[in-house]
Amino acid sequence: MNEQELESSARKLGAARAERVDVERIARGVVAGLREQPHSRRVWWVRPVMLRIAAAVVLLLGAGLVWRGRVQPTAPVHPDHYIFEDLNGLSSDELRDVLSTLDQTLQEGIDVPAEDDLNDLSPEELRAVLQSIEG
Amino acid sequence: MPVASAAAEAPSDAALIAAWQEGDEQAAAELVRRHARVLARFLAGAGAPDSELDDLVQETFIKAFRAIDGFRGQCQFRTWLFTIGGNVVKDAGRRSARRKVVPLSEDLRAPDGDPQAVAEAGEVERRLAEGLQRLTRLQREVFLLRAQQGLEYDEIAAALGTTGGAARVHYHHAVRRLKEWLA
Repeated sequence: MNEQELESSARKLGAARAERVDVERIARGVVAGLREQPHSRRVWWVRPVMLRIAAAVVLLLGAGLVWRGRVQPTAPVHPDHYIFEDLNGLSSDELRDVLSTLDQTLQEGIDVPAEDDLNDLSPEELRAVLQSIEG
Repeated sequence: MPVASAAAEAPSDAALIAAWQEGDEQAAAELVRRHARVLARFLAGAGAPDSELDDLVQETFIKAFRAIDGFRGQCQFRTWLFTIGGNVVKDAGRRSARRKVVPLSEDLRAPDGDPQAVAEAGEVERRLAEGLQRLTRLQREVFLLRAQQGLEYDEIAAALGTTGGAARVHYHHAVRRLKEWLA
C-alpha cells in the first residue's frame, strides 16, 4: 500500500459510523449538560496566570520580611521615649529628690555626683546628670 | 445576539462562540450541528469504541464549551475540538481499563457487534484502525489530522503545541509504521 492509498483509507476511516451519529440528540445533550453546570465566567484573579503572579508576590513579600527580620533588629536600639523629657517641668528641689532616689538604686561604678554636690547644680546641670545616667 | 436573527449568511464559528458566551444556547447547538460528524470521524479514528461514540462526541463538546476561555483562535475551532476529543478518548480508554472491560483494540476488531458496521468498516479500514492504535498518541493524532482531516502542518502544529517540522516528522513516522503494519 502506498501513501496515497493509505491517506484514502484514512479519509474513509470512521465515515460510515459518523453518518449514524444522532447530531440533534447530541446537540440537545450538550445544551442540557451546559445548563446543569453552566459556563462559569471565572473572575480574572482565579485564572492560573493570576494565581501564579499572586503566589510569586506572596513569596517575594515573605522573603522580604524574612530578610528584614534578619538584617534589621526587631526592637530599636534606643527607646523612643526618654525619661529626662518628663523632667522638664520639675523644679530644682523636685529634681534633687529624683536624683536622690535614683542614687539609692544605682549600681556601683556609675559616676554620679554625691547628694551634697547636687545642691550646687543648676536645673540644666541636673538634667544633664540625669540624661547621662539614662544613657 | 440570537442565531435565528443573524444575517442569511451563516455566522462564523467565532460569532457563534461569542453568542454562546453571551448566553445564547442555540449558538452552542449550532456549533454542535456544524462539527459533530467530522469530530465523530476523528474520534473513531483515534480509537473511540463504536458503542460510546455519540457519548464521547457529546462529552467533547461540553468540555470544549466549558474551557472556551482557553481558546484564543490559535487554530480553527474544529481543530481545537479534535485536540480536546483526543483527551476525551484517552480518558475513556483509561476508564475502560479500570473497569477491566473489553480492551480498546477488541472494540476495534468488532465495533459493537453490529454486522452492518463490521461490514462497512472493511478489511483495510479495520487493519488501519488497529495499526493506528499501535502508534504513539502524537503520531496517531498528527496522522489523522493530516490524512483524514486534510489539515496543513502549521495548523496541526498550532493545535498540538508543536512545530510544523516536528508535525511533519511525526506524520512520516506514522506513515512508515502503518505501511509496515498493513504490508
